[in-house]
Amino acid sequence: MSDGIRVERLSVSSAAGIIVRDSSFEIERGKSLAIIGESGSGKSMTAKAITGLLPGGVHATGVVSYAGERIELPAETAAWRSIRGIRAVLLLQDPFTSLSPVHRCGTQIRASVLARDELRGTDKVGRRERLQQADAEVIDRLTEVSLPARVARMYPHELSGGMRQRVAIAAALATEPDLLIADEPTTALDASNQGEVLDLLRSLQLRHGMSMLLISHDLGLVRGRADEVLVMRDGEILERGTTASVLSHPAHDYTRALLDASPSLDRLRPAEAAHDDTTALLQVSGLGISFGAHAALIDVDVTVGRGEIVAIVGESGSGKSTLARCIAGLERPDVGKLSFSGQLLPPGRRYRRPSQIQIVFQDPYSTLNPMMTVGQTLAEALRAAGRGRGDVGPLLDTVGLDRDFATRRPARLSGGQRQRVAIARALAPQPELLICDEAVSALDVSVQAQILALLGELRERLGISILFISHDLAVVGEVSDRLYVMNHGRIVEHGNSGAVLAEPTHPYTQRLVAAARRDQS
Amino acid sequence: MTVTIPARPPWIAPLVRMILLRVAGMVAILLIISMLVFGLLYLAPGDLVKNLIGNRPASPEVIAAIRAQYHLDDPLSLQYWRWLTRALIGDFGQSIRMQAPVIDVIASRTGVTLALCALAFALAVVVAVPLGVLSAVRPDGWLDRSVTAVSLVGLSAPSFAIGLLLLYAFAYYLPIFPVYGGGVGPIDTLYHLVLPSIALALGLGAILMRLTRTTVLRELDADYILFARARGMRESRVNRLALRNAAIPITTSAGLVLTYLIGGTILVETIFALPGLGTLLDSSVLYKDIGVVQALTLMVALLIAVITLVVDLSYLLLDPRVRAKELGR
Amino acid sequence: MTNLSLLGGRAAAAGRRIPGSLVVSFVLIALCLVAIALTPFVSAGATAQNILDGLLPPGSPGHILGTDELGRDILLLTIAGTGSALVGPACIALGSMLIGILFGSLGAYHRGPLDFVIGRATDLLLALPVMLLAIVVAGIFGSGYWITVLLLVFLFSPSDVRIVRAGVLEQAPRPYVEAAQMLSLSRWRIMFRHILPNVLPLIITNLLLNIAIALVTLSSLSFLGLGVAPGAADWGRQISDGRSIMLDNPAAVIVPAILIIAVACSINLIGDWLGKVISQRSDR
Repeated sequence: MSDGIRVERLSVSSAAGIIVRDSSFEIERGKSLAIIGESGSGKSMTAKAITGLLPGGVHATGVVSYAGERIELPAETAAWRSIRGIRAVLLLQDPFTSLSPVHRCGTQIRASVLARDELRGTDKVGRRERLQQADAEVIDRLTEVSLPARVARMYPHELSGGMRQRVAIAAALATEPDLLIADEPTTALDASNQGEVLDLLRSLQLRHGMSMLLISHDLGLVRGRADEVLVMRDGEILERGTTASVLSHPAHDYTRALLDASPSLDRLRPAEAAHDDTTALLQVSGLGISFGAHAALIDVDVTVGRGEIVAIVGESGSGKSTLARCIAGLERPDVGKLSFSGQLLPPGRRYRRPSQIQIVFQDPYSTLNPMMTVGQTLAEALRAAGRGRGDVGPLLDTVGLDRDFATRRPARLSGGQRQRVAIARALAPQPELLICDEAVSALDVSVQAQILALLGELRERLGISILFISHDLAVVGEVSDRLYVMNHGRIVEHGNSGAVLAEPTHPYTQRLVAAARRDQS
Repeated sequence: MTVTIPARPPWIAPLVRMILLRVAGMVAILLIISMLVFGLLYLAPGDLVKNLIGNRPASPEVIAAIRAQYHLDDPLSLQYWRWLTRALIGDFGQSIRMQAPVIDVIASRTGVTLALCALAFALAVVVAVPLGVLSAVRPDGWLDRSVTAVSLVGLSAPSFAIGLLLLYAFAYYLPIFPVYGGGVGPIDTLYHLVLPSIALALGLGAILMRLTRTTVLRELDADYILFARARGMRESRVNRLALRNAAIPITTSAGLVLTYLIGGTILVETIFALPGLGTLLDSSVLYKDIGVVQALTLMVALLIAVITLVVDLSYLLLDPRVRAKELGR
Repeated sequence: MTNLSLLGGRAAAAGRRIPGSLVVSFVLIALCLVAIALTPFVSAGATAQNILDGLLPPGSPGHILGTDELGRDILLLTIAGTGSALVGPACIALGSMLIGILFGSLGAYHRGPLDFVIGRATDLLLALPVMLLAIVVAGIFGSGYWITVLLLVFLFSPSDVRIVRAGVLEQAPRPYVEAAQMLSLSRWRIMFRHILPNVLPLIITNLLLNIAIALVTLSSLSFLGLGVAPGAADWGRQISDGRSIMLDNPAAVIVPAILIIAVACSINLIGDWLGKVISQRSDR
């Protein structure tokens, strides 16, 4: 066990309470361990604690040993000198912020190379020669992560998120660490990039014989990419085992609940034939809009029937949110027609009634006015539809919140609770169509499952139609009757959800489905 | 695995177009200001001719001569055009108070003001930026606390109050520095400018210090700093990384606060009785010597327009993101 | 969710803990308000000239801070000058804030040609330093306390328009505003019920900051002989008049100079604190 990484009785706490409680685990040399947990489980803080990178006001106790080198926490800054960059490197979640925006990618990778040579005392040669060698190595490092050499001369903002994360991986690996800690390395990326980057990490880990600590909220993503899995909740380790055994025979109820809650392409909704002959509630035809030279929507046709759940699927930048905003009247399309219940719907909000269409947005943290209580927010929405303040209570019941939430401000609610309030606000005018624009993407899987269940229930009980916008094929497959696939502003494929996801015909859909399946099985 | 990398767009033509656009906007604003400045003469209360004659006896012949000299019987637009074309070659007419060409009066006063402003600016930058960096590196340390307290005074206090307190403390109570005047010869001038430039630099330095502190604090808190530490980079290199990023807002706002000096120099020169442009403006305003006021106002407007343009361009030079945004399309 | 209540408690405690410098600031401003209330009773004494009692040094019997060359009591004069040091700046800051809210929110929320005109007008006014414009306009077109106050309201407003506009533009695209649009609420209601309350911390901090800047600007103008009438009780004027007698009675200059600095510092400290308190309110 002497050349692996061992963490003993690690506890992390801040003034707000305990974040990680008395956790111990070890990673053998050349093996990969995944820590799985939802937000607030303490998984990220574990990663920061064992590299001495906790934010101010957060403290850790316990012992970390890297290949026999013991560090007792809390440790002095100097104690980490021999660890960071040599024993362990931490790769961060967001590739958009983890690289310096004003330095070229090559320079940033070179900084790792130089730091490594300095730390290991191998920088005996002259400065000029050293820089030349480092520059040559930068090219190799880029090749390793499948990027061309000319990326070295580029700035991070010239690259996409996936490419930036590759640059960050190259910069992390250039220090040649024993352990690579990757903290949610693909959460900020598109689905089709996620798998590629995770596979890249796994192959590099195996090739260099490194250990890897992979931190993720998604149990499905670690399948085949980690040797062992460790499940955390509220700062405690619930279970640990080989990836295959945990995924197939979870020992703890929470793990089982997590597995059940994560949407899967294997659990498609059975198609309901009943919806085929319903009258169309919303009909979009020939919709187009451009922002400057960029065409965001091109000739889009979409139909939503009464009581139907229709999904629009696409990656970021595909135009799906723009489509939602055009339908909601928040954006004015350049061309095309919208009709609602057989009547022409003019662009813009001006001639529309709140009881026609409502929308629930993605970000639970800015969806509610921070200065208003939940009760004020809902009462205002009710009044807009001519309903009284007395309906606030029943409205809270509908979305499964206690009535005493009415007196709280958004800052005291969790993400899932805020999203429920947002749904209640949208339901207040009793709309015929509810648009959910990535409404569950920012939520933890278990909360996501609850909200999805709530939406299904609302459809059953209120007969409301739902237009569900998402990037997540599995979620869409579980919740929708029909779906439209968008790419670069166009609808490339549409049809019955089960049918499209089982046998996609368009190459783009095939690629998306393949990526999603690989991540899950 | 194939990765498509966007190609770099051409940048020279957009750069030229951008500069031309900015210059055009600048010229437009200067033109409007010049109209307002020209209007001063007509809008000023009292009789125009009397204002132009000043203290000379107003016989009908003199009045007629003045009307002819200033073309007062021409249409207003023609008068403006004539005034503007002359102003462009530096001819702002005669100063009625000094009985000398305005441009000569201004030229004789520029040196002191330039020296004062340059000294104050240099002092502020040299002291405030390092102090801002140091207090950001150790927030809430003793240095941070004391520097923040001093900068509060600097931000709040008018330069004339600071100037007077300095004058009382170091010229009257402890007679180390001269009470007033500009001094003769370079060493003596410098000696005379010490207290005034400190008074002027305090406010400027306070702004710069606060700005440096917030910017460096923000950058040190960024993810790329965490990632640099996580890769084992030495603390000095990590700090350098943050400073390079913080340098952008610091440099550009250091340019913009230069304009703060213009208001301050008027007061400081008055306190220390320095024969500079500030005292010239103050006395010209009081004597309604409008030619001088017009020339000074236009000069300041031009100066500020040029500073703004240089600041915009320095953004392009320093920040690749701004470069991409401004020149990328 | 046990963490939440803990966090709330901590934030509340942080909001309640008031540093010593802030207490001093509040006391000073309170004293100034008392001085303003006393003004009607002291103004007769403050402007009473008695050449025989001229140029008494500080500590003279009957005149704690001494007198100036006209025999005016410095303490009474300073008390009488408090009103002109605080009332005008408060009016300037309030007035320019109202203009800022009006035009800033109009421009930001409606966009289009109105916004363009407002934007170019502020550009134009910001192309010259406020101090220079104030000196030129007040100097050439004549001055007086309230005329100067009005002029400064006008000159201060462009930066307020910019600040409010930027604040509104930051809030306008947020989902909670769009949700309000989905409810077909009036623009008026969206602006005043949703957007402006969230820009309020910014507006309040800026208001206090502007009072301090206005105090400095107004007293600077008085110091240059623009603004208040000669002989009026005003700190800036006092400093200007007192320069010639600095050796005989330093208090004539030092007392008002220190008061200007201290009051401006206090207002800035209170402004910072108020901004923090208001933005914390939404977290509870």
